[in-house]
Order: sequence, then C-alpha cells, then structure tokens
Amino acid sequence: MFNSLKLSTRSIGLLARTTRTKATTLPLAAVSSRRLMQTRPPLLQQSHLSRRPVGGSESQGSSGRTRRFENIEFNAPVSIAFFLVVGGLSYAIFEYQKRKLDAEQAQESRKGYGTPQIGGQPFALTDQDGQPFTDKDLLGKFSLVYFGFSHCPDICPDELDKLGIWLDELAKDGTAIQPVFVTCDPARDSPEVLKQYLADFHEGIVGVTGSYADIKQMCKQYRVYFSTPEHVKPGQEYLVDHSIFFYLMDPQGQFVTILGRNLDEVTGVEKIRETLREYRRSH
Amino acid sequence: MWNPFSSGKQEFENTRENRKQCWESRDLYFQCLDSIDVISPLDPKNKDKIKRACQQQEKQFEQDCANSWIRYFKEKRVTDYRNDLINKKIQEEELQAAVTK
Repeated sequence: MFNSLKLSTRSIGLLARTTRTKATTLPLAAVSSRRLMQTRPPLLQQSHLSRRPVGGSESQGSSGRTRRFENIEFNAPVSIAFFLVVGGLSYAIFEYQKRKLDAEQAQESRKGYGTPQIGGQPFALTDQDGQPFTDKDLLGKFSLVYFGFSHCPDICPDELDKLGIWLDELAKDGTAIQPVFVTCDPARDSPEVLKQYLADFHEGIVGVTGSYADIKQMCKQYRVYFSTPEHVKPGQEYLVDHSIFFYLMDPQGQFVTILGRNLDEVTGVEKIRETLREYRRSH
Repeated sequence: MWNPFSSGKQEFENTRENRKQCWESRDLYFQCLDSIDVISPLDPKNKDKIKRACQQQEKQFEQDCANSWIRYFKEKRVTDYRNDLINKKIQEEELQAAVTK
C-alpha cells in the first residue's frame, strides 16, 4: 500500500504535497512515503506500475481512513487516460474541422461563389435567325451567357465589346467558347432586332429571345434581376435594369463561374483561362 | 418615358455610330455642366443656369441620344459624382489611417 502511495505522489508531482499533509494523520505512512521518495530515483517508478494494486483488496481493508489516498492513487492513471482521451478527441475534431474547412475553401476557390443553383435547367427560346435555342445548345462546349437588352445605353455595348476581345484572345490558343446574349427585353428585342444589334459586335454571338414568360423564367434560372415591364404601349421608351454578369457554363450546361464588370479586357481572359485549367484538372 | 424636349424627334436608331455620337454629345454637355459647377441637370434649381451656359450642348445631347437614355445619363451623372465623392473619402481615410499608424 505504501508502495502504491509513493507511486501516486511521484507520478503526480502536484498532488504529492497534499498526499503528505494528509498522511500526517497516519505517521507510519508519512514517514515511509518520505523515506522512499528520498531514496528512489524517480525514473525507476515506471517498472513498478504493473505491480501496483489496482482498486483491490489492500484498499478495502483501510477503506475508511484512506479514502483520500485511494482517490489520488487512482487519479493518476485516470487523469492520464482522461487527458489522452480528451486531448485525442479534441485533436481529432480539430483536424477533422480543419480538413473540412480546407476542402470547402478549395471548392470555393474553384467555383468562385460556392455552389449556387444557376442555370442547368431546360429552356426553350429563339435565336436571332428565328431558330430554336434550348438548353441542348449549351451542351458539348463552354458557353459565356450574358443578359442584356439592345436599348441598353452604355453598359451592355461596353460589355459586349469586351466579350469580343476575350473571344479573340481565347481563340488564339484554340479555346472556343460559345457567346450567348439573352435579352431581358423580349417585347422590343425580336430576332431581327437582335440580329441587327449584334452585327455591331463579335460575329459569333448568339442572340436569344423568346416570349415574356420564357425570358422571365430564363432570367430567374440565372438569378438575373428582371424588371422589364410586361405591357408597354407601342413607341413607349423605357430602360431595363438587369444584373451585369457573364456566366461561364460547362459542356454539360452546368454553371462554372461568373465574370463581373470588374474584369477588364486582360483580367477577364486570365480568369477564364485559369477557370478552364482548374476545371479540366478536376473533371 | 415622355420627355418634353424631344417631341417631334425621330426615333433613335441603335447602331454603333449613333451610340458613339450620343456618348460624345453627352460628354460635351457634361463638360459644359462641369464648367458651370452643375452636378445635377435634373435639379430645377439649375435650370436657368444650364439654359444660359449650356443650352446648345443640351440640345445636341438630347438630339443625339435615345429618349430613354437622356434621363438615364442625367441621373447617372449624379450617382457617378456621389460615388466618386465616396471613393475619394474612403481613400483619404485610408491614407489618414496609414499616416497615423
């Protein structure tokens, strides 16, 4: 029993003092404990751990008086185990969370803005030649989808000019992207109007229009703010508010990233190239 | 959007040349407004001032641009001016913060 007492006082340095003060009520225990501490080098105690009585018959005999000792005696392994378990657990949780966060961040940087549900749903519209243009026409190639309207005062023409420069630049290294201009103003932008309007810009741009309801649905799919009045008197002039983004869609017709107005002739191309590289690596 | 200045004007043909013409006239008109320290051309307070100094430019601007664009550009001038002010203020504050650091 003394042996075990000594072990506990040694193994938990801090508790040693408590043990000794309590031990003064038991003179013999105190003396022998002190004596052993002086003579035994601390490193040797490890070998005795296995011979220690564990909660067994010895303590039962002196249960009333040595309750405290027992607690301390058993605290050592219990607390070590406790710290191991708690420490291990918190480490594991920390590692897990960190890994989860890293993965999320990697995904975020790949996708740009998380994983919003943009596009990727069926639609049936009409192109500038009066031919049907549906979600199937987005398959098999990357597309850049832009929403605007031909009566747009200054932003759309600028953005479409920029798009033309991007397309020319990307064509240099063989990157073909289908440019799509979807009007938010179907009342005024008939296929003929679009055809004429887009003739001023890059030749590959597909102009897309449709019924008011279909265009509204399309804008909703792409989270485009849509403020076009439904019933307009003939000859009445109005402007259309709309969001100004290019949506890069993959050959499955799924959303990859958006390109905002902050990107210019050069940085836009850089972003598209980088996005495509990243896309090909992960697909 | 009905505009009293543009009655009888023929409809704006939305081509690249016409857009360019419109933007140039707009810039000349706004330059004139700058010279007489007028920010908002829509503010009735400024009406007489503009009529005195920039009537020619205003007429040309409204002649060259689509009706719905005229008001848009005039309003945009005000918001652009405010945005510039805010940006300047932010820059100054950042500079101040960098100096006091």
